[in-house]
Amino acid sequence: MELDMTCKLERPDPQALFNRYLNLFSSTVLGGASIIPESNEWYAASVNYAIAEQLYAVAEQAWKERDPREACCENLQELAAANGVYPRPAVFAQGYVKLTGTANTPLPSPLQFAIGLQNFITASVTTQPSEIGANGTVVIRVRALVAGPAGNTPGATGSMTTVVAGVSATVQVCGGSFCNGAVAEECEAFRARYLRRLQYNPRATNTWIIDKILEWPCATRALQRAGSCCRCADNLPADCENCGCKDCGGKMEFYVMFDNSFPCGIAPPGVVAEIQQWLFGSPQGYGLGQVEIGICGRVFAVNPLPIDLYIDIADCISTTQRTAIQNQIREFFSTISPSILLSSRSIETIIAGIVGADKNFSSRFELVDPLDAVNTSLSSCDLEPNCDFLPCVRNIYINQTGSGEGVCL
Amino acid sequence: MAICSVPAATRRKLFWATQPDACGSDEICGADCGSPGLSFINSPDGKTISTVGWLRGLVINMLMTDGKLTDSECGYRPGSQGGHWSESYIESGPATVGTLMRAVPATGRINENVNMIAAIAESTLQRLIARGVASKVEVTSKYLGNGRMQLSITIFGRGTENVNVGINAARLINGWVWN
Repeated sequence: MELDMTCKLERPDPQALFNRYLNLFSSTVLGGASIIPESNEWYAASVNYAIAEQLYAVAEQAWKERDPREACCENLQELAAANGVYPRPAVFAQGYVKLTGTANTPLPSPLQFAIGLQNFITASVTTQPSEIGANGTVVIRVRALVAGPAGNTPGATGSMTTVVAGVSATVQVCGGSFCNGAVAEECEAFRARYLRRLQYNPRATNTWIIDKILEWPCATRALQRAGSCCRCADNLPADCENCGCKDCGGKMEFYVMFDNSFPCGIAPPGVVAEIQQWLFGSPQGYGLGQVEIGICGRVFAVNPLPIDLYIDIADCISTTQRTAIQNQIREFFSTISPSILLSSRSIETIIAGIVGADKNFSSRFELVDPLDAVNTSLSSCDLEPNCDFLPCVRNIYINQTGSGEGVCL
Repeated sequence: MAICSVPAATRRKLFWATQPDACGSDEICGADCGSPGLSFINSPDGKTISTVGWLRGLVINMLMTDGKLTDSECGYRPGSQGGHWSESYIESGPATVGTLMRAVPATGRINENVNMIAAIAESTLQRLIARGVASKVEVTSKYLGNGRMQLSITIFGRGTENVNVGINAARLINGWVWN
């Protein structure tokens, strides 16, 4: 289907709009008679058109004011503020001055200086050296009292206006200049900076990688590897559930599902390997794939874990309800992630939504192949597949005898 | 017949299709005052509103609107060049509005001025024929003496309606005064 790229904000051609108002006036006032130029009707319709044109202009301008590329400065600042970005204020120039004097002479804090036409003060009261060094000099970081670029080049030497016995009033500006003094950021500079920020899309995030994976033909879901694949990051003994930091969050490890192409959406390992090479390159980390240089990761193949589902409903349900239950459960299985705990409570929520919560029903999972027991931990009513295994429903049995066949033990 | 006052209670505004005595007339303080309203015409094609005087209104619009002066390298003060912005939207026929007869300077021989004004007025009103609302236009001018002149205009409508319009002007030191 062709994508409709038509702009929804209408702005008719001026002549077409003028004619529209002529026709409107003619049909509603003149019974369809034509409007003669220079007549009162002509001027009345002209005024209507002019008002409409103004409304369109206002609408168009309002539209533009929501676009940071075209918004006026005041609205631009509001747009940016909503994203936590503000114009930079004027910055005070900072730099270093060297004092000379008698070794170990104590220095008060803060010290003040006059250099050229600018006045300066100790930049950090807490970190200012407390005395002249053993070699008779000490370097002090200072900042201008007035923000702006004028403080960057006040002069090569100046004087210390704070009188300290044993310390020379003449000070030397290290490097002959100071740095970072700047005026407040003006509108267009702020606009350019804000647009650069909006356009910056870091390629080392999970979100970006998931979006990229979904560009692969027929891929329907991209999932971060988690659940039973995670281990305790701080090597706490045994029970991972009591561990606050698991090692999955910081890893670039993903699954790719093809729900419309392969059974259970599980792609053959060869397909997964091809995606991994396309995404991360080979060898990894050299920018040979889609991700940035230095980014490494893996796309894991998923193993199917075939299961049957037993549902026991004591009350009577219709054929339509039975079909709906089966369809919705199969749809649910097309959304679950590998390595993630599957609870029978999820199945019963689906059933309750169809037959009502007041009905008496239960459900349980059963492995199709008992040998798969090594690939899962089936406890109570929950099924927790091992790492990289995905429960894949084969048969759904719905029993209405109330025999308790669906009760998990 | 004149409209002496519009009753405020009705909040009804005068419209160009309003006829001054459609709702009768009264003598108020010695004056014959019409009660304005719409006159309806019943015809085999249906009921419609009378627009008697419409053509006169159109002629007055044309002659009371200053036409657009030719562009000047020195330009004009805003709003002083004449014309109306809507003329650029006229799709068929002469794409101009108003007349240049008031641009005739108040210098030179006055008879030449009068003849030129009449010619311009007649040229202006030819647009009525081009736009299909008149079949013929006649303009006669007359110098009344003491710097005053009169234009007598007769418009022959497409039907039986003929319209007469008279305009007077007086030439002062710096220009013409129209009424």
